[in-house]
Amino acid sequence: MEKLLEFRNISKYFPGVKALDDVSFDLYPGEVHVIVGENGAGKSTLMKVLSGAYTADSGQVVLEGKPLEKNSPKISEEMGISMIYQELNLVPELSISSNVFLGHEIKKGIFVDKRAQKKRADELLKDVGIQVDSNTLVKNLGVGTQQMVEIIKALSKNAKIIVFDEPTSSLTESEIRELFRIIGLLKERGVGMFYISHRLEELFEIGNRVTVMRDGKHILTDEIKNLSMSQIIEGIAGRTIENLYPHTRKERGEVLFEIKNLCGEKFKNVSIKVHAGEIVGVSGLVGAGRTETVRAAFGIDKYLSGEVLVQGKKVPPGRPDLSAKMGLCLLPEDRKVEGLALSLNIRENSVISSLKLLYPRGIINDQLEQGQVEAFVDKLEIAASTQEKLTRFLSGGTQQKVVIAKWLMSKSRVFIFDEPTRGIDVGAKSSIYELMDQLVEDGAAILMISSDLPEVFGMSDRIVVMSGGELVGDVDKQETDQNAVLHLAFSNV
Amino acid sequence: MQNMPKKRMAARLCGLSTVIIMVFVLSLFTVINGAKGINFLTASNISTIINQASFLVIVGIGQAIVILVGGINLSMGAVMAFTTVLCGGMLLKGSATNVLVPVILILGMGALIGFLNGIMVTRLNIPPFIATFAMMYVCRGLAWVYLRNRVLYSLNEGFRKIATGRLISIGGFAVTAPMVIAGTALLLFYLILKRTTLGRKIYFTGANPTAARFSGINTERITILVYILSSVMAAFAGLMYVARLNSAEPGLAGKAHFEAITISLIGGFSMAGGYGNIWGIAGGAVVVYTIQAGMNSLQLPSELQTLVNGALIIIAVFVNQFLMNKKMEIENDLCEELTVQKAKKKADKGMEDKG
Amino acid sequence: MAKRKINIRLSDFPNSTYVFIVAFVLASVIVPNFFTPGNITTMLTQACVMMILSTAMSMCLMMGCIDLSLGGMVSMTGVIIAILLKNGVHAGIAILAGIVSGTAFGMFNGFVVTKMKVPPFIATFGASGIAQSIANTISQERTISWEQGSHVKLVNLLGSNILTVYFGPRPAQILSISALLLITVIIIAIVLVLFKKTTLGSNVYALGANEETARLSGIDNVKWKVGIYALSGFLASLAGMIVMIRTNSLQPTVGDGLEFQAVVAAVLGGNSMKGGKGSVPGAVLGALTLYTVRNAMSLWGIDTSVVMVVIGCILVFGMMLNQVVNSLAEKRKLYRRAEGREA
Repeated sequence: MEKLLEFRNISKYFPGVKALDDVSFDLYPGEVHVIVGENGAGKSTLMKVLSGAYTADSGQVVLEGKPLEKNSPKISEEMGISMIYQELNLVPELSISSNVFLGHEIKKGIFVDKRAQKKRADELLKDVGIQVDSNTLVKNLGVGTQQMVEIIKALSKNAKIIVFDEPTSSLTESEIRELFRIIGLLKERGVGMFYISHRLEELFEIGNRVTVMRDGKHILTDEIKNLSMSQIIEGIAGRTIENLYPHTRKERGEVLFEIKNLCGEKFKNVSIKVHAGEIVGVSGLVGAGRTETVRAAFGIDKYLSGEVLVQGKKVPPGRPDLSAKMGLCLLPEDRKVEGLALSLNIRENSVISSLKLLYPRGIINDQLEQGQVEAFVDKLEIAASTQEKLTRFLSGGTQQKVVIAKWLMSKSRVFIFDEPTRGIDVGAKSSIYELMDQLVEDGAAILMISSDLPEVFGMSDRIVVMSGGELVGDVDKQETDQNAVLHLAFSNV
Repeated sequence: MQNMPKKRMAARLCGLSTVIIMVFVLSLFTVINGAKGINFLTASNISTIINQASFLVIVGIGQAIVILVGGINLSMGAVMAFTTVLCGGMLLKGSATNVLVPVILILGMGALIGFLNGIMVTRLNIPPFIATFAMMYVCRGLAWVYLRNRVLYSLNEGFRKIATGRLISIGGFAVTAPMVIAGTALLLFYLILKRTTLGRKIYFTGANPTAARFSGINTERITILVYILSSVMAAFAGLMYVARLNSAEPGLAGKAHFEAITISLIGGFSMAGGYGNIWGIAGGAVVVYTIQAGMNSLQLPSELQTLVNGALIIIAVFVNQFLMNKKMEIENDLCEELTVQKAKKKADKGMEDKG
Repeated sequence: MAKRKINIRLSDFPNSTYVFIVAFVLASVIVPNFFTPGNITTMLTQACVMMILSTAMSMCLMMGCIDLSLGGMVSMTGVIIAILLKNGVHAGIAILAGIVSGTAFGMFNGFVVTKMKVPPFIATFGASGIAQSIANTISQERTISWEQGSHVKLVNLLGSNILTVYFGPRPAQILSISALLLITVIIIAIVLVLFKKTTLGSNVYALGANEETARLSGIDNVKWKVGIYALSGFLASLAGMIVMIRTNSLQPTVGDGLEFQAVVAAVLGGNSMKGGKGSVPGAVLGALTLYTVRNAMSLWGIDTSVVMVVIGCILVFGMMLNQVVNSLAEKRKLYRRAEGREA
């Protein structure tokens, strides 16, 4: 079979950094070629070279045997290369068909032939088996369906190569099934696909071959069936990670945090108890109401009825500032938008929740502040930077650490983590797990929402499952398994 | 170790973009006037410029703090007129009431109006542009309704001192009451914004209101407080303006909020919020009045001044942005180097401990 | 569910529809002489300029930008046309000159925003001063009027009434549609057609929603931004022409503050100040609402300053009403989603 695409000795430099170092591998039609590696390994940079957003400093991209002399986003698209990014590139106020044909509309003179577009869009939707009318506005669709729109967008441009960048991080289990089904269809049609993901378990399910990258270099490429998980992890991290999930805890103490019969717009009668020294994992499909519950508990959103208690005392609803004062904190899903002020530096972000503690009289003391922050920077091993570095320039893992530092400094006792390691590479993940373990060892209580079942089983003492806005399960980790939890997650949909 | 101190200086310089603009404009007009045989850079000229600028600085501070939290206050001019018109009667020369009474009333009304602005923006979710625009219409309208076509003039002598008072004269340079007042206000707000926890919260709220809320900051309270302060400053500016004009009328300060936005922009504030140094207001005001004085001295028509101001805003913001980006680049480089140094030190220490 | 229901959602109509209806009905009921053919004509003619400007503003806002120089451009282009007329230039050429200058100035705005990367608020705020200052300089800050003559025939024609319907003898019962009103309606209709039926609409929404998305879809951000600003300038010059013809003279400060009213009209009409959302009809209805109120109040004999206060209050209530309608629509959407059970 002819190679569809080949990277030959691609190198790319940025001031002070070698982002890609002599990378070579290839892609066959109908193949799902998974690319894994830490943040900064060069995966996105390589894909940007493929899409024409960047130009390689040396080396060639060879498409169907012919080297690509000039490249740009427009050219690569014309050549049949389509990119599907994690942040979906759709316009919410426009319909599916308008979105599909954005930039390459079917025209009659200067007028757009909306009827022809609708017809074609409906065809494409039917082709991949999706039952939605193409006049629906994108803003009214669920995330999974939105992603499908991206895929038919690629198909409408007769894509030969599709690159998926972290496709499953915001999808529900059933949406992931749909996605894999469609990928299967694409395989049959000979479309070559690059699939970038941090969810290592998915590799084995969906991939034909895998390429591991590290520090801009190509480490290995092989058929997935020839490799084991630990081999892959070793390739990514450059070291063996023995115990990804540390678990040095002991007995638990009293109930530190309690959500009692909480009812809101998207959830009903949720009751959860978390003891000191314990991690409670919250499983469930996206849309089960987990994030909505904790947002309401912390005070970001209002709830209709019920109570939230920290150390037995009632937390006033709708007041995140008061919740924080009582020692409750929330590390949100979207750390760039909800967790940090990207235009401010590490120091300013870290101290923002502990201003009262640090400065009881309200007057700033630079030295005191720098000293305190330095201590936490060391403790959390935010090794890669100084305090004054703007958080906008940090990697996902480091940003998450700054968010954790912020709440550690405020001496919180109850931590709610919402998807703590989403989009974070294996190396940083393991140090965050260690941090969480350390926290509970020191007596804190952690409520952890996660869609990563291995993570839930690795880190939790007890597991709670939500489905369709209600609590459907509450068990000790030892007394259940991943299948049972999945079952529960689907039970009330 | 590539010349870190040099880089630090470069970063510092980039941070002073408003000062650079100010120096440039001063030099420009000195040179042009000099070519015509006019001595522009005299102590008395500079004193006049700074004196005039002081009035605008008060309004500017009120606008700048609102811009800091990502909003805007279009009602400032209207508040200046409304508050002074309502209580103007008590400020008149022959008035029986102690001058402190109207002053406190005026400031109080400013606070109340600011509170209403804050409520509209936070609780009612109305975009600041619209909310303060509506307030502007209401206040301006009420001012006209109250006073009709009358004008209140001849105000209390003692009160007028805040605008006309002269403290000392050094050489040809006169230090006036407005200068002292503006300077004090600038210093006060600088301290609040940069040296207190309240200031930190204000900057953070402007930089990312969502994250601020998630971090336990009561963004509603902070926003309302800022709008209150803003309108109090507007009321205070109103006092100074009427003191200078010796009259109070409903049409007062028709364009004050625009001028305030102008000097905030020249002074380096970002309309998106979360960035800006209050001293930049002083720089912006000086620039605007230098241009006015410079152009008057060259006998250029006043219509041209609006053109120059308009073009200046565009150029100043362009320069400010450019220098700010440069500063971030350099500082990022510095961070990289510091990190490398730190890592080296740790490695060395590790070696020592082992060895 | 075999039958296909025709669901008309609340949110299918721009928000300002309801505000406008409420305002219009109240005005008709409370104020005598409001709902007469003569008055409606007056009101519509007065609203022409703002309807055009709010159309321009809504497109800028939807694109994620703003144009605060609209008022300045109205003054500038009006002055240019008027001064040429005063100097005996043929009306057709004068108007053309006005249009060209407006469009060129708009392109200048586009240039500053795209190439100099100055934020739209600031760029157009500064440009406003420049435009107004040009108007002041050319006119020497004096009102411009022109003599009658063959060269102004076109102007007189445009200022006349095209259609007159007599419902009765008195002035209040005469419905007269002037050429200016017709031009306004035609222009807005053309813009609407272009918006819905060509890539203008989808590109503007795309640029406003997410510039990155637009760029990746092959939309040339620079070209479109400059284009929309040029269109803004073009529309502003038309507004300038209309003002001039209507008042049969031109004050150089005629555009003062118009852009702010345009923003208010557009936002009242459902346009978001952040971009990506909104509509042109919404903005036009917003403008009509403002003018309904203004007209009704002055007809009722209320003093201008009181009108200012009332408009301020109505603005606040209008925004609150918008919110209510929005949240109702949101709730129904949630309902629909739960029923439809989408993935």
